[in-house]
Amino acid sequence: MTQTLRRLAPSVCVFVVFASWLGQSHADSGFEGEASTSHIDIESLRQRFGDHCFGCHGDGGEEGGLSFEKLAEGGYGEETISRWESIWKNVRAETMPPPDEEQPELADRQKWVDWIQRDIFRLDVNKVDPGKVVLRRLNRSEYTETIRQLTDIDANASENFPADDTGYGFDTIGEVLHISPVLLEKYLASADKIVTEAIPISGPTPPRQKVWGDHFHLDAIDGPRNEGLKFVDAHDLHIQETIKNPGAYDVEVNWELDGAWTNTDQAANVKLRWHRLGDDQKEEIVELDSAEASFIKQTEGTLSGKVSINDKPLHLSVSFEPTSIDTKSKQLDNSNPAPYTFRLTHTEFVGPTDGKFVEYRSGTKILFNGPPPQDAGEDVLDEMTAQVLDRFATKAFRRPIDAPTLARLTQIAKEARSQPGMRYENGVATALKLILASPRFLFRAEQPLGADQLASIPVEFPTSPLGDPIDDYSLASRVSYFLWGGPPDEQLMRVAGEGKLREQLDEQISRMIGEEWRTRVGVGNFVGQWLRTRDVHSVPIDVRRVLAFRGSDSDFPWQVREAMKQETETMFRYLLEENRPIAELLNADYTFLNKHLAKFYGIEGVKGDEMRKVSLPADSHRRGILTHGSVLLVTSNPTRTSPVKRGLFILQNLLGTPSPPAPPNVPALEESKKGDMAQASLRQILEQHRRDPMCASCHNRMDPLGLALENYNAIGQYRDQELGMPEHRGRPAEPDKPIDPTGVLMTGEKFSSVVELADILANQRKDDFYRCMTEKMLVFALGRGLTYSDATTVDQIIAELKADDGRMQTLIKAIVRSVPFTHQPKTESIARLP
Amino acid sequence: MNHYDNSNRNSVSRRRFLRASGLSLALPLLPSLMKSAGAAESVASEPMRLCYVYVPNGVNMTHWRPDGEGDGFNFNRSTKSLEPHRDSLRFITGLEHREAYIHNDGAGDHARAGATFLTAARPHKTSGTDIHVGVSADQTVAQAIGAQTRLPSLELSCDGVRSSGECDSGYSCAYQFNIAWADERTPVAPESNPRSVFERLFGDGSHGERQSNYARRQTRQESVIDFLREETNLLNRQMGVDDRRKLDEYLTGIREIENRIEKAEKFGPPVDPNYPTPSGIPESYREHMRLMMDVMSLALVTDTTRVSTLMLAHDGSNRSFNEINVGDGHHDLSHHKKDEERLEKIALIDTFYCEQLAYLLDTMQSHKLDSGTSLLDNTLLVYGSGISDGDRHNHDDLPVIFAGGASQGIKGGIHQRLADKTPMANLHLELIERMGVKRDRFGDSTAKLSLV
Repeated sequence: MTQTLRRLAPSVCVFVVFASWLGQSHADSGFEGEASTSHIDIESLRQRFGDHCFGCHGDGGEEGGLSFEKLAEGGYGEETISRWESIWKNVRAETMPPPDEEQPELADRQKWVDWIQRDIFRLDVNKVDPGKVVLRRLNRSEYTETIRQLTDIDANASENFPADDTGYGFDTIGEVLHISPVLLEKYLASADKIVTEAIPISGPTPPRQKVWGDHFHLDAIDGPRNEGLKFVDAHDLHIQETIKNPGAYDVEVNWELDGAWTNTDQAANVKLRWHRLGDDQKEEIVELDSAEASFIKQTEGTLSGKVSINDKPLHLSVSFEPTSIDTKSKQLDNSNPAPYTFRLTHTEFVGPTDGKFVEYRSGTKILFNGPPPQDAGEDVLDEMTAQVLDRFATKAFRRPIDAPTLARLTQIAKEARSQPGMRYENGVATALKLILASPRFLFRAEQPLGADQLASIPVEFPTSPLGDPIDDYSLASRVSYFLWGGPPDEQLMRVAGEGKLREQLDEQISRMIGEEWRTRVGVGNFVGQWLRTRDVHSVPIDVRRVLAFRGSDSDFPWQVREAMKQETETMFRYLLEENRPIAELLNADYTFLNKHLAKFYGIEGVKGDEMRKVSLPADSHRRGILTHGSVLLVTSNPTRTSPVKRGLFILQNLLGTPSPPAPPNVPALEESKKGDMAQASLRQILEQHRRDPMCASCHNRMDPLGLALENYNAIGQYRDQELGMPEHRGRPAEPDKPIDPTGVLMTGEKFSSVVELADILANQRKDDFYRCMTEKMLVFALGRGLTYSDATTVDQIIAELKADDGRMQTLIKAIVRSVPFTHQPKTESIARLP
Repeated sequence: MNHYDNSNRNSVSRRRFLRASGLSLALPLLPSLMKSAGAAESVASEPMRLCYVYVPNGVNMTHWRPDGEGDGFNFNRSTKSLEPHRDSLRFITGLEHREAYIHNDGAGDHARAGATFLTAARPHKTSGTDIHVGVSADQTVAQAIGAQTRLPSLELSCDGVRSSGECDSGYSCAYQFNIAWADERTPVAPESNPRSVFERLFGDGSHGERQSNYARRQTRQESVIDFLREETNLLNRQMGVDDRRKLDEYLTGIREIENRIEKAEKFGPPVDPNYPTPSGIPESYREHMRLMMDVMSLALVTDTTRVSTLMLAHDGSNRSFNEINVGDGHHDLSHHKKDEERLEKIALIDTFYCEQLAYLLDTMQSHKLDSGTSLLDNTLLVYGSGISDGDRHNHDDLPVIFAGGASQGIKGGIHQRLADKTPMANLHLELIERMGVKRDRFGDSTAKLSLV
């Protein structure tokens, strides 16, 4: 099919230009223009939906604000298509018809869904609308990561820039990522600061060679290796090094005192000496520097001096003479192993200082072609500048920079370095700052694939006449910001440059997933927002009240919070790296713990600070993310659990269950927690709440799910009692109340514990989970919300998932190959980047 | 409590700006310079300032609403700390934001409360596509008079960290975290780090170094503008309509910087307040609010801007209050279900917030301007919430306090009880006009709300 389409390409283009011109007239209505929204034969609806739906939604009934007659007549106006969307979602999620009504066969449901997609939404698997992603600017996290990859500098944008607005639960949504004047100023200031830190503006310096303290020997060059001395006896420490280039050198010997936090008055005089060999081979000792090492006055320092080096090895020594009077007694008094130590940390040889050899101390990734020769003329400087800028801008713009802009930047650099007091590096810095403030850096501008390259698209990539495939550089950026939260690396850029990214996409994705530290960033971005692990550290918690004044803040230290965040993100990365089924997120019989979290969960036998995989025993209270501390914590209020928030979290983020139309006005709850209710458990209070039909429509969906998690308190600890608060200012003490985690899902499945609920979600409701996670990941990856016209794409991805046990990499690869990910909408002819 | 150096008092006036600029920059006598110098001589009165402070989640009205009406009212317990400012403030009750109600949009009252507060317009319900509300009152004024000051407006927030995931019931977070809107689709993001705000206003470094640092920054900015504009134009040619809108935002930023550079030529270097540069977001929420209030007052008293908004927190905020030993989340508590204990805690939070307002009023009162009147006298300040009762999410009977305006003859010391459901837009319209901007309507306004 795709082959045929491609052969037809020229005529398709003509058609599309025509169609897009026609499209102008109803451009405002967006997708609605595509779908059939009015004049549907009511009798055909009755035949199809009558038996199951018309009892409430037909023959005069309009429950929940839906009547099929009105829908058929177009009586909902602009709302028509959203009514159909909601029918489509509810039928698919089996939330309609309600569980207490007769249920249609699954095959009939599927027929309804297919009919709506085909006849109402007019979806066609061969004509997938790629949808419009509004030009995305780098969000704070992407900016920080991109700067890190470019310069090794931590821009810390989350601290320095105003918060990004989010949409659909993610901060990658192009349409809401605004640039305010304040933000633009921040970008300029940030570019300035980053470049100043990233490259040595004051120019290259003589080479430095560094050796560690363990190059020293006790009392003689051939003595035992020794870098530390006790404050007992006088000693010398000797070092002998062969230095390659002879000449004048500066030496710097760095020392420090171990146990510097102690109050001892131990002290010693230290001297740096140079054992100079004269022409007559006689050793002459030159004292270069001295200092007092004293726990009271000076606990670290540098001994330095100037030496000249010939072809013989350089011999230095440091003499150490303790000066405290009762050195020994103090040392003996202390039973701990030797806290008072004088230690040489490292020594640097800087030179030759005559300027013949110079190098950059930092920024060599950017100034890769080294310092210019001393006698370099303007042409050479221009050439070197252009090389630096070409490489940097290509990384920063995520595609090769065009010749005119490069020439312009080179010229700007030249002008900058020609100013009085300025040098080559100032010129380069000026141009680098411009690159980092350019909209080509800050926005992710995309380009369609050139017409000559269309034929190179491998057959397994779906195409669509409604879109233009994006070029390889655009695709490389989409993939790398999706998986890594940062820019493409050199290999991706190279493959894109060769026009082979689609061909090699699978192996590139596998390679990318293997890059642990970059993947951590990407997973942190997606999971951080989808499962809200980003909030674990900041969510306010009043530990004392959570524990009903039977514990304190120290029961919930930050190490536990950090481990909770890591638990969930590590689990996700494990599924990704090992290509495990995604449903394991819901009911895995293993998790990732370190000693802090294991202790907090009451799981024994886990040691160390590192997160490690731990198998959970069959009788464990923990199974999958529903029992992860992170999820339980971020869905709680500061003082107590919130079954409503927890239920909503599961519906929104795991099941994707549509919310029913909200009641026209949420009434005040007249019934207060007084009298009988004062002794009520949270479950009983919520049950009371649900008796009001207004509340029931939503809360029947949320509450049973949230109540199943009541066995975990607001900081994620297991409990079988809801703790009552102690007596307070005349209010009597509340009793502890037993917890009942049993419940029934909207779709009818019964469960008696969260472990059972997790299994139901991972098995019977697996399709819902597949769909929900696919949709979340698509939104995150595409940077836009989904509409019904994405249904075909989502269906195709789910079909691939189902065919492969729902494996994580299958999901990622299916998303990356999908039409919306690899295409942009057809547009009127746009200029190509130069 | 006056942070501003009194010996340097005169430096806040326009005349002093001009003198300073003449000394330090030796500018040619530009026509614009002459014009503003002339204006400064002839206008005896100080320019008015406009300031909005947003407080989230409604209040416990029982302890908030003043007892009695007109000038015979008594402060209720939550607002007691404002009593010393009785003569410079008035309670206005009976205001409503009709557009914040549910209509056919379903849940999401917190998003709507924030989005309508200064726009009096109904936010289009969306998680991200087609964000649409209205131009806010502060921006309406800023767009008209902003050219007269170094910055058209200042947007501040005390929400340090935002939570992840979806915001209120299908509304984009943009509605909940911004109250200032430059146009229907573009929020003006507030800053929450007092240090960056301060440095942006007055330059980095310590007192004495800031003017030269500020000038250096502007020189740096000036040097990059041409290139960035060309880059944008280059990119623009390849973009569709929606993408161009994003690039327009970028260009607006460029223009804003240019304006500021032009203004520096006109106004001279900014005042360098004798106030230590704040060191970032403090641990304590109270300190954070007060720092922001200090910086905001400095911006207003130095005439760096005449329009500012400050969100003490976004609507729906679930912050807890260790300072007053209320560990529960504010939003959680606000659904009090008439529970006495919860209502009591809400009253404590309301009291806490009012104390911060009292601090702001103190600060503004202590800043004296050339004319001898205080900053507060020359400011139109509105403090309020877009929700009345957090349990009912009702958008009428809003808790609103107006303060300042004495220089325009606005009297304090009264409880102005309006007819129920008077549009809050009427108050906005009145203030817009008092700021010298002519508008016939604003949002769902029906008339101007008289403050006489």
